[in-house]
Amino acid sequence: MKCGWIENLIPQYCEDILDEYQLNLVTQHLENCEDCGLELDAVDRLLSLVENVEIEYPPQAEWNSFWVDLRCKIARTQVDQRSSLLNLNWYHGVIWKFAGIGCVMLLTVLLCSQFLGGFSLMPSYRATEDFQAVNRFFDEMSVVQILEQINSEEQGIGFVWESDLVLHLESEELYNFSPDTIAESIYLNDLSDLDFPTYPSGSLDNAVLTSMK
Amino acid sequence: MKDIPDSVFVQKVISGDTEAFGELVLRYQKRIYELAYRFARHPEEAYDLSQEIFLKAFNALERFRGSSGFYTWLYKIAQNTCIDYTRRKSTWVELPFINDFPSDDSWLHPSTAYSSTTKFLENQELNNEINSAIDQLSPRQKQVFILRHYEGLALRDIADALDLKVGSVKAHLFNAIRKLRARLTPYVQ
Repeated sequence: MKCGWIENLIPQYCEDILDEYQLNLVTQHLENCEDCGLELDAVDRLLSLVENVEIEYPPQAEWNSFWVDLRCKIARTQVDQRSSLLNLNWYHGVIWKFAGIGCVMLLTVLLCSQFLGGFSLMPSYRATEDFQAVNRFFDEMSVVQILEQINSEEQGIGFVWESDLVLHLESEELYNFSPDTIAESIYLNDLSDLDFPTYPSGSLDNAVLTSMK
Repeated sequence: MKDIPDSVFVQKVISGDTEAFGELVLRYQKRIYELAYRFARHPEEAYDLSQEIFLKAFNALERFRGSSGFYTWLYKIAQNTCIDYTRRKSTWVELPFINDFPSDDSWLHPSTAYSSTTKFLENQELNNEINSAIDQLSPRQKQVFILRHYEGLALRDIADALDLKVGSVKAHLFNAIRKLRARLTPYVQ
């Protein structure tokens, strides 16, 4: 058996962590090899030296005040923990207060907007005053009547739409669509079905209706 | 006082009597310091490290279930803290001259303390050399070597403590001894 291979096993031999086969090999080799025996002695001495390194203790005064020092650290930790807990509570309190105030303010704004006009939670037209007038017309009379009124010179009422849509409503092409189709489209706020020669750039709620007598 | 079991003091501490922890500290201060010293290899650092261990134990005492003895539990905390310490320390840059001075102030008075200083340095040389050699091991090798040779743990226990396989522990141990052997050759021939 080569010494190099056995030498590699010597630390493990000293540690007593070789398996039975390796242990037998090393033991037999050591009986006949002086060099490996010296290496074993060296590793043994090394481990003995290392294990017997003296422990240096701190000066006696410091050693005796070990518990006093530790007691101070414990007290400091307890104070830190308490203050961090207090801080946490304080932050929680502030956050909850702000959250509560925010909720109340949001609710107030929503209620005001709902009842006083402007923004609304419900999806609806951003109707101008004039457009609301159109809606009132629809409530009161049929679309045919509205169209008749629009085009009636006798009534002395004409409507001018101040948008692309207006021009087409006033033109002859208006009559290419049935009144029902126009009415439905206006109700649905979807004028795409009307297929105007020039598609209206604004939706119905952007159109401003003005009456001309 | 010495006859009173640890569990009595543990219960007192849990119920708010911080001073009772002092008795537990007094009982195990030396053993914990010695473990810390094996890892830190400097009195001041070992002192701080052992304080850190006891502080951790105090803060975790409410979670101590009593399924093992108090010292077994404390030792586990100490072991983990020391292992963490070697991990932390592997990123530090150590000033080489700190260990070369005696810890007392005798080196400030050369006329009266020359012989004691010289003796101190002579006695310290081997210790410093060994400490320095251990310092140059990788953190894992250091942990395995210390737990094996200073704490006398079995390979299986070391593997559990470091979350390694037994085979890896053997390999680290082997490499640690080989490195120490190379470094400390003049002292063992």
